[in-house]
Amino acid sequence: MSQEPADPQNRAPLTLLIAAALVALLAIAVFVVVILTRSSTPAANDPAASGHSEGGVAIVDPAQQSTGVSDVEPKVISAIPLQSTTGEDISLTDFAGQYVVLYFGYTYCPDFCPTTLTDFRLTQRQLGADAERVAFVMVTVDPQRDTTEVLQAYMARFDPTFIGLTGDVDSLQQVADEFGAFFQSNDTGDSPYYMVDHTATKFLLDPQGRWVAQYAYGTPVDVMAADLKARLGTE
Amino acid sequence: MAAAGPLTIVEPWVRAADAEMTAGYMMITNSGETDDALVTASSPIATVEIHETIVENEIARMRPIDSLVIPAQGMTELKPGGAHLMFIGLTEPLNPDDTVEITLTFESGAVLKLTVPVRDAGMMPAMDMDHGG
Repeated sequence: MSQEPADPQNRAPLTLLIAAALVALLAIAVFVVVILTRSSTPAANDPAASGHSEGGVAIVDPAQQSTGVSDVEPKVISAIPLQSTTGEDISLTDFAGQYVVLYFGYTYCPDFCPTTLTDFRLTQRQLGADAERVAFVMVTVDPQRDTTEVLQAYMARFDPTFIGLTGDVDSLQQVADEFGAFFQSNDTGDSPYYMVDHTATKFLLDPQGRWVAQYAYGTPVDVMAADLKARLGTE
Repeated sequence: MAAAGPLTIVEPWVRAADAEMTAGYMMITNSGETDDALVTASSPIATVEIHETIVENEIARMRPIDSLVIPAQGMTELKPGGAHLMFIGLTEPLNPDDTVEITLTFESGAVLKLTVPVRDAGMMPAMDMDHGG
């Protein structure tokens, strides 16, 4: 931590320097405490996971926000081929024997998507040895920028086992439609740094390739992990 | 902690990223008697905008905002899934242990210069050793 005030007191006497050093030490101590707290409760301090909005401007309508697991009427998903970061063309039905936790996102997404993929990583770790029975997948909503190469590098930053899928816009729209998911690019051609609005729900497919449940935006990592463990029969 | 008058920045960080976009987070406290507002943020490594995140009907949208109020005797948190500084057009990947220079300007005229650590969100350094970014 080496932040400096904008108006540094460059000619501060020794006592002030000592005081500043003590403040810096205190800041480090606070930082360490925060880190330790987070390590014991990974979801508790993640505002995205808790749906907490104190002091921020995340707008969350409680009436529309269940922040939890919802079972859905099991629905067999169509086999729509997409290009995978594993180097093959696969569809969401090709994960036979594995649960699939699916998110629609994009690599230029600076806030939501990395928060969700971080949640995936924390969830995966809570699964322990059963993690290999769950595939964590992001289907891009931004095929223009998200080539398989870009997706591969991005997903690997979170976990080398995470899979990214892309395709042409029509295919991706069909996949989204299977889940009633929404995405809309704000690309006006003015800037390469446009945003894409998209559904933030995580969808769960069972090992038979059926959509069986979903995790609302803000569902804590602990809740996702517990749900997956229950489905895997390890709780 | 950086401070200017009643304003203090607590635990700032910028998210590690390969892509050209990333986000920065922090808590800004205001011990003063009047509201202030963050009006601009800048950095040598990218264009920086102040963004808010909106989730309606499970659809996530991010939009730039002109200012972010820091209430008197209060605190505003920029955090994942909420308000954040958006870094646009990074010229190089940001990795943990890198630092980012950020200058914040407030409605009151206060200016804060920060040197902010880059972090992988949600990861402890010890846990991240086998998956270093």
